[in-house]
Amino acid sequence: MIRVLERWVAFWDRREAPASLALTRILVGSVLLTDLLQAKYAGAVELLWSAPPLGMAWGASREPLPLAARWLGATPQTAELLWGLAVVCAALFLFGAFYRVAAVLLAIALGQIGRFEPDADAIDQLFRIALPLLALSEANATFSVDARLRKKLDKPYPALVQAWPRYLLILQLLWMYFSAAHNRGDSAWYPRGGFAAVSNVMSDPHFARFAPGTFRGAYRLTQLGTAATMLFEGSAPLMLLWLWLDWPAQALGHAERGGKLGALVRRLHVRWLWLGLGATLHLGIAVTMQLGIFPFGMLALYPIFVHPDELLHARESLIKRYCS
Amino acid sequence: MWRWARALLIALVIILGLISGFPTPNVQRVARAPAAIRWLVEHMPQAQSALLAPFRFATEDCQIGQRWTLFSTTGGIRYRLEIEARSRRSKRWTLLYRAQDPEHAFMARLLDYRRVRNGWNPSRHGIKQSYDPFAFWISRTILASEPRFDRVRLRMARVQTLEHGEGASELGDFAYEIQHGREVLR
Repeated sequence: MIRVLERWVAFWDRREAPASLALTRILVGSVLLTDLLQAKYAGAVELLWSAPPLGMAWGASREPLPLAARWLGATPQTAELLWGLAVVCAALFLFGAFYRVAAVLLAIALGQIGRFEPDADAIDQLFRIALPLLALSEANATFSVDARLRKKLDKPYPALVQAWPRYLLILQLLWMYFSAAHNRGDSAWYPRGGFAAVSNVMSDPHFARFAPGTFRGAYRLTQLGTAATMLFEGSAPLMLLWLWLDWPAQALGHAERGGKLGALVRRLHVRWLWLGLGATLHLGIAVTMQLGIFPFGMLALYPIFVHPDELLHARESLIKRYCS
Repeated sequence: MWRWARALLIALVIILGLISGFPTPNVQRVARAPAAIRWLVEHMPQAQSALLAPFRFATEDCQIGQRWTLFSTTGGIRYRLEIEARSRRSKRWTLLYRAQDPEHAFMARLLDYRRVRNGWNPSRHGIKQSYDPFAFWISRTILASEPRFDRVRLRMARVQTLEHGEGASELGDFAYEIQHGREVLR
């Protein structure tokens, strides 16, 4: 038992280069900043985050009151203040400047926004979970203002940072997919419903990007999209196995894992196939449906599935190719 | 010591996440299942609530949970928001906004923004709590900026999703109608 616990502790104490977390920070920060700026551009700030009758934020007057409403009142001024705080912190988060403070404040601002607006999207909830994890990570140890400043001051960040935030983010994303799959009771997601779900969503006037019926000629393709979505989401837990089998063992000086199965998984690039399928589905959603930042927010978290050494290797290869 | 504390805390977070996200099937779905399974399904939500009670701050204050329902129902009857205003003089209704209608796109930039749409778009459980305050706000905004109107009406045209990707057809009736007059400006 003690040995199992020791292995568990050692696993969560692993270290790695910060590239994957840094790239995730940049992409998540970009998506968040874009979304917040879009809220202002749409003129939605006051409407979204003021309590009725000044806005539609019914959560702002629900007991117990959110902290921002308790301290400042659920007024349009508080809405502007929350938005301003979130925008400044998202920009600092994106560039990795005053990272820890900015990330913590951003997580708090998003949490308050979530209290004001309880009907928000799944992607908002996902970011409310991802932000604190990223705030606790050292995602600013590279590709960031903080890292540059520390280098100038001769106090650079360590080359290796804690890997556990990335591992937890992986678990979170995989659970989200798996949970989405097993919470679907609608037969349209299954063979008995003719895999009609994607086509149905594309016919929903509130979500369709094109007029309903536009893709009637591609109905078979939408059925394939439904089946692929269920396969992708339902098989999400297997990604843990693919990640374990397909890791940069050679680069890290370790033996390959998993014997024949491992060799097969690596040869068939199963991990990359799963990621590619996910990216394709999200891009398909972005093209055919109006779901705001959802597909981009999900894709922004995908760098966590790539080991930082693979990212660095890819970067070096690109630089070499470019120079030659 | 810190390493151990962190690893145990992570274990706790994972266990709580799994409890929170554990699926609870509809009791009707297991009506024919053995008694033990029915008993389990009936008591699962209570057990989940009891186990998560000490950590309610996470679900309520931080608005997080681990049950993800993304497009869990599709097709069937869907809705299409319409916003109309009534002329003071002729008492005729003018269609200002209709979802996915570029010819009636009054304030479309605002109304189509995903967070705002979330407020007025019905979920699988029906209309959301934000719909009433949204209707009040949009009515007041329209009536304040357009003196020629004396009433604003919001309603959802009921739409039937057609099979085999044929699109959708309007059923000719409406749901979730709300009307506001100039009293909202007081």
